[in-house]
Amino acid sequence: MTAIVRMITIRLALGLVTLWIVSVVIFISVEFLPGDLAEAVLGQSATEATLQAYRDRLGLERPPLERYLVWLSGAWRGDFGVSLVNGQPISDLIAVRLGNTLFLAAMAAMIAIPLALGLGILAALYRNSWFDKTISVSTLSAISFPEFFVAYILVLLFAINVNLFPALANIGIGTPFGERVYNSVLPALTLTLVITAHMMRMTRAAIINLLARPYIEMARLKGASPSRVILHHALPNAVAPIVNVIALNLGYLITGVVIVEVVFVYPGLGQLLVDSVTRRDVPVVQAACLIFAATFILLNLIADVVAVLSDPRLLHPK
Amino acid sequence: MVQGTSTDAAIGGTLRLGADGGGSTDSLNPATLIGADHPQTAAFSVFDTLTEIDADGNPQPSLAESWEGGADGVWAIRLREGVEFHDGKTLTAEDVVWSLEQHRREENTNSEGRMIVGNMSEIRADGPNTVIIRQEQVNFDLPALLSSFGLLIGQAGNEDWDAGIGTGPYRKEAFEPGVRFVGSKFENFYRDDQGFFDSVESLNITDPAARASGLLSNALDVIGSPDVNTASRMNRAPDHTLLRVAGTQHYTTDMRTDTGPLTDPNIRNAIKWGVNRQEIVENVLGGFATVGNDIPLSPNQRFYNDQLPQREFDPERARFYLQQAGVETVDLAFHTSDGAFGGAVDMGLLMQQSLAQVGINVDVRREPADGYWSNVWMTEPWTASYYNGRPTADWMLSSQYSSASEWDATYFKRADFDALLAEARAEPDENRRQELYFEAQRMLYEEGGLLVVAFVDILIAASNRMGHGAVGISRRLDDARLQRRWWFNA
Repeated sequence: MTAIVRMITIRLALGLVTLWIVSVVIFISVEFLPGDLAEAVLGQSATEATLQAYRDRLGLERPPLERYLVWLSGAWRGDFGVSLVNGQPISDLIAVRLGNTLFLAAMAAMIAIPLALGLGILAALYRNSWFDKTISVSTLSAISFPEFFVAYILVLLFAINVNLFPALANIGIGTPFGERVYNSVLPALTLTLVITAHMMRMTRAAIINLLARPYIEMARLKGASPSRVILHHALPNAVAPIVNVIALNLGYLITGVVIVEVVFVYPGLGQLLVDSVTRRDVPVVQAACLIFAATFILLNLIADVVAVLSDPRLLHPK
Repeated sequence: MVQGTSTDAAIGGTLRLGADGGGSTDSLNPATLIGADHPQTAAFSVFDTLTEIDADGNPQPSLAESWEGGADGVWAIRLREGVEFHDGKTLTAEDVVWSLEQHRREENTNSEGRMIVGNMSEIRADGPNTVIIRQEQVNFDLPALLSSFGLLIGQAGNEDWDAGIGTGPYRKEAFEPGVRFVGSKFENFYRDDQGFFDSVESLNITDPAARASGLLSNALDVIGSPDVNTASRMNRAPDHTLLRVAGTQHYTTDMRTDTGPLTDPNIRNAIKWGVNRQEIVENVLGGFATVGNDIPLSPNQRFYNDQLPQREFDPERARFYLQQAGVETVDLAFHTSDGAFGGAVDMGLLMQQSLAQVGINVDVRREPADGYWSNVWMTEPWTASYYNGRPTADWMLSSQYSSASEWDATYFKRADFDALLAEARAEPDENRRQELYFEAQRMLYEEGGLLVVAFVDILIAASNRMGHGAVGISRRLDDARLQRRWWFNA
């Protein structure tokens, strides 16, 4: 067990270094973009005088290194500062959006993961049958369409042709839980269609890969049923690759869904990030990106820990 | 949708409105409020201005009941009595003075109100219900100027505009910038010809397809700016109607008259006759626009000069002007970007085609939308741009094309033009005023660097359950006051 704790500690420390590198890269990238916050906010009505006044007020004229260090020392203490544009604390701004994003991700994951695992196991069980092929073709087709296309098709079918679910995910701060779920059905379904194929194919492949092993042969020879062979003998050994794919897809659900958010007008973190990039609101961009990076680092860590627990051999690479 | 009078209105219901243009950085403070649909409709739900503009462009009472004066630059604005804020306090002249004065502050550099208040040498209360305003330069347009969204009236001393304590028809229930606004009927609202809904909910929806699907699936009752490429199909939907109003927003190309290849007015006139505006209106703007005539006033506005011949694609005349300039052909670069307006790049390509026929070779330079207004527009000799219309002739002409303007991308800067505007502004006789404005417009038409390609229509798509009166032309969504002026049919 101590080995696992040690691994987690090292990985978390490395994660912090990764986060720091991410923050440097993001800061430099935003610096490279043409125009700054003052120009983005004032737009067509900008004049030399108003631009100057705006920059002076927010300290945009200070050298980039100084601005970065000020931000870094704040972030180190957990203070992400205030949005440059409207002066609201960034933690408040992000907390609500992050909550919404996590809600949608959780909802999609709760549909997609059992679905993908179930279908993957069934496909492995009945491999090369009609069932297997149908599942593969349909999930692969769903993943091949761009997200917005899947989203519009779902809107057309389930909101316009048959008015089952709302086309707009109208979610506010005080929206009750039941309504929240109902309003998020279509975006969650869209995301489900987008991520299921990947996880399902991985589950199927990992299991089939194991079926050629001698110990599976042994299980079969002693008369275990096909479903018992797969669920009790193959699946536990396939956990490591499957968990990794699930972590990757969960990361995507949190960080990569801005298009789905736009189509369904879902007030998530992705929209906030895009908003902030167009306005060059660097502190908000930094905070959002760090959350995204931290999400990936943590999910990967969890996946690895689960993999190690399922197969302790992984702790001792040859 | 039925156009009628507000006596047809059934009081009640929840209006669900889909608008765009909001961002997480929006605020209801008029000093930073931007001119986009979503924040505007939110602001006009909770706040009032002193006046508003009717569909014919004339100022009408709102918080102000009446006004008089003007000839010597001194105005007495009488406020309606018994107007209540949402917290129960009664509106007084002090609130109005405070709200106007805030635009003088150093930090409020970005406010449209600052320019208007800048011309006021004195703003003071005269008793609880009268505000006295003294102007530096006499301007008879003051009542119209007071309708500006930059001059919302808040409560004296209350700096927290986002709390939404105003005098408007709806109390703020929720305002999540860039996401949604929710308001509920304010029971003591001071007028009964506006504010018919029990509650209003305005969603910020950036994607035009999402706005349309929201409307067609009855998740919304009305949407602003449906996509021009598909808007006409809205009429085929059985329960929905597309409403089209000739607006004052215009798409232009701005030619610098002070420097570069376009200083010769003959070259500029060759371009003005060599652009096929009709083709651009049909192919780029989906037909939802009216061709422009190189003056920034739209034909339905007061003092619009209708004596000037409509410019259309006329290769003969274009070549004639090139000859006047003493050249056969000329090479020019046109800087455009989809950041200027949607379709500005396509417009550039169509201009390139038609101008090639008269000997003007246009190099269409596509610029990034980011930084377009700061790095390209007003800098390069020839750029694409758009302007929101202003309710009055003087407001439009002087805020944009006078020498004092900091936003004139054509660098017109002509003392005789300024003199015409100054004289017209202070001229009590209507006929004489018209003459002066006509002359000013003729100058822009013949000598200016402005090429107005088209005035774009204001488009609103709505459920047939909705009713409304004459629709305002100065801003989208019925002057951003749709939630006050519209109703559900009984």
